[in-house]
Amino acid sequence: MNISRREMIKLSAAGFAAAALNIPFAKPVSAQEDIEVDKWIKGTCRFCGTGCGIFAGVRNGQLVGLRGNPKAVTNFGFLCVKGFKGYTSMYHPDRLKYPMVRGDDGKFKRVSWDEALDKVSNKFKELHQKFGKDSVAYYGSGQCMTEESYTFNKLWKGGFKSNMVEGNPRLCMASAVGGYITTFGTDEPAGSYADIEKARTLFLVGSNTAECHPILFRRVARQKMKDPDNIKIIVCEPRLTPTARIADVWLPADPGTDLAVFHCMARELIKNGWTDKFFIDNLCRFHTGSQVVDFKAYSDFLEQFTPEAVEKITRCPAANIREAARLFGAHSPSMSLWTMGLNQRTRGVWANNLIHNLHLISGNICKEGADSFSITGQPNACGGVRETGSLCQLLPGTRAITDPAARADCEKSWKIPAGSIDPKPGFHTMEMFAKLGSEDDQSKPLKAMLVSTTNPAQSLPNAPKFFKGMKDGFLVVLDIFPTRTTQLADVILPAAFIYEKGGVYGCSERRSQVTPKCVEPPGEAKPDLWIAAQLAKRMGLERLIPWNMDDPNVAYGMAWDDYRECVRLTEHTLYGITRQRLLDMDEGLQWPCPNEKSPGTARRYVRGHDPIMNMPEIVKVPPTAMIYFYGDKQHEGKANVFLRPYKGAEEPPDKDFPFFLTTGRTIEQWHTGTMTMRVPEIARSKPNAYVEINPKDAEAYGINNGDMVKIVSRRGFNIMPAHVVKNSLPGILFVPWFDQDWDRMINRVTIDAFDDGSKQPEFKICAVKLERVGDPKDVADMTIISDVNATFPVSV
Amino acid sequence: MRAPDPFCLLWALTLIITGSAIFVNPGDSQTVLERLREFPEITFQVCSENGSELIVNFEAQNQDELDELCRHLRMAVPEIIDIGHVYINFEDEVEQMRGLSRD
Repeated sequence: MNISRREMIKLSAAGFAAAALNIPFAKPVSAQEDIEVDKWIKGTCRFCGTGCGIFAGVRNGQLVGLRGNPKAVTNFGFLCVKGFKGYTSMYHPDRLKYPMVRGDDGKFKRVSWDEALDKVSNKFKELHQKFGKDSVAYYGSGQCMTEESYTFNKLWKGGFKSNMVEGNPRLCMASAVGGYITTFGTDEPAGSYADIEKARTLFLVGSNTAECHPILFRRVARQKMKDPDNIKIIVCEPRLTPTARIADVWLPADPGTDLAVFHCMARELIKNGWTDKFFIDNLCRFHTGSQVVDFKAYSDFLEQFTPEAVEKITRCPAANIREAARLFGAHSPSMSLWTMGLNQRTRGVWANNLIHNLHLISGNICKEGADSFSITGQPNACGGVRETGSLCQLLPGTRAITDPAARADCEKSWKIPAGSIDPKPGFHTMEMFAKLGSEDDQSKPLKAMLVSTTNPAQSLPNAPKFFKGMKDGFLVVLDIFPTRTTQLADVILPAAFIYEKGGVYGCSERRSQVTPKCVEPPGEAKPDLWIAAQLAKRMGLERLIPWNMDDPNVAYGMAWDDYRECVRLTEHTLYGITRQRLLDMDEGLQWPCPNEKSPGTARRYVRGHDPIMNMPEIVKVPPTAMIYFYGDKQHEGKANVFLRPYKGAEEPPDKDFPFFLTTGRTIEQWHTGTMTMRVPEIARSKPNAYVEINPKDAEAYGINNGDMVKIVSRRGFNIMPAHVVKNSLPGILFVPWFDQDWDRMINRVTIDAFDDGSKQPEFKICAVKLERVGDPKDVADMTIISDVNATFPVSV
Repeated sequence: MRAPDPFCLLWALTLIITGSAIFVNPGDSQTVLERLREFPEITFQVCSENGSELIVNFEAQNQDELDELCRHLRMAVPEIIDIGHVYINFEDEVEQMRGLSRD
């Protein structure tokens, strides 16, 4: 039988799908040849924090396809649109291929790597000498590989002795870190994705999982669809998103008011006896934030949050809150999943605390199907930034830089003199960009910044406020495409894409997975790790960062080993996660993983599951304790249940600015669109930003679908088409934030207020007014910045 | 308005072939298989032992068309619980894209 190439592709494609589901599938003998690739290389997806396992197909030295890895326990072979298509952006002709330095005429000119690296290292040395060790900052990303973030962090904190290290995870999950650390004493979830399939009630809050983490949403939706009468879904979210559409109970609270909903649910749990006495008596410490109180004081505090009182604050129906509490407490095990809707708030840490409260008082944690689980937004915000401590207040192992023992341990591991690491945290992201400026400006202590794999000129809230600092300071940008940030840079260093260098990503469930280098980068683009090591070498720190060789598989391996050693005796130990084990395994490994025999840890704090429970050299746990929150700084093994007072958004609507504005992602686009906007199919399906308006508001303002409208805040304005939809409640507007076009760049409008604890800004809520400015106009221009020398849209 | 990116034009000419799973209640597989015959863009390949998973290929001109086809299928065949893609073939697209490199 002759089989056409097309038939062969169909059979092979079906074979991959059948394999993902363990369905026997015999292809005809004549179709036994696989799809035409030279090799399939196991790795991870580049997008979102799910950590989907993939195989990258390489033919003739180029990547020609991705397919899901059926043995990956994160995605079981399935991928989303971004996962399938996003990588093709690496072949877009806009790729940055050569180092460039801005000339005296203001235009970028191609230079050699030596010239570019010498310029950067000499300038950094000069600024260190002139303005001190803290005059140069690093701003990284939850999309850098773990080895890269670790190396830059080590270079700055151990080499320059400066804690001016930050990254864009400050903008997406700092409140989750703050929530876990204040409640449990240590960061990241106790459980795993596998709890999704064991839970009877799933509480999705502040997360449009269907669009932002579609593969995780598949797992939730499949559970629901398989057993709709038994599996219950609660969604707390002000918009009727695709996520909310599968909910049994929808809690549509106004933006920023959900603290009252969570307290009300806790009150209902206690009133109705849906609590766990063992947890309350033995594993909970009730805390006001300044003093310890008892359970009665907590119960009394909650009395103000009756369902009816909370409905008045939030617009969320009292009956819905009662039913949500009943499901959460009486239809357990219950698992909560959340993302930016909780985190990107001025009360983000408190919101996280209050979700943990629900789990602790009802005993819905440390059991199969029960967990309080923050999903992270970026592929390596957890593994790369949280775990390596690449934020201004942290050290590797998510240890506080203010902790003398942690500093001493790092200094020993890094073989630097005792006392080298500065105990004082550096500037957090918002402070960092506010204090970046020219050498002549005495009010700006930061004079230079190296930005890697992120686009702050578009992604910072109230972004125009920070343009001048970026323009006036010495700005070095590592990236793969021109962006709004490269437009403000002095030096552009062309970076390699994940499949052109490899490295480790750590996803939301504490799982590390490695991707080997698959293909060569274009032009002279280089791995970030090579760039970091070359700068270290030029600044006399080669002994600290010796992995400056050209072969990324060797360099990334050395950096990974250095990192493993550095966190060996921490609660976050991944010493047993060797690169070779990661290369050999289909599913990667979850920390804690203290030695090479350890299978990793799916459930923390539980004896028999978590190896740290039996490691007194790391933390002492009483031998009789079956569950013990060993991060507790009081050494009682308890978690804090907080009596946080109710507080709403920083800038609620008023008579002048009567609407809530909330921002977010769509399923197609990724962050500032620099990659996904270069995938034609994705670009076409979401070619421009728009504002979602409820029909009642649209009618009141004389706005029809497609009309051009102006959205104005106290900081700036946008003009974009109206999408009149019932998704948003009256009084709430939604705008996706991917669009690079100046008229539609929503971070001209958002507010730069931030959480006191986590320093994470309130992207999710600000007050705006709305005005119809014209008839429908075709703005599907799929704007991308292609030319590094393109003029910046405003004078800076 | 900006001229369309040449890559968008390129994509309009490309054919996508998927390896996908259609999830159904075990008792509904025959009904769904009958209905799938109405869709020439869908090729049935194999069914799981308990009949709850049907392995198929979807063929479409582009991702938009594929999404629309899946949406339409879900609406037309209510017995379908879910559709998931494990593989999408688009290797020719990459070659064409590289051919348009600005170097």
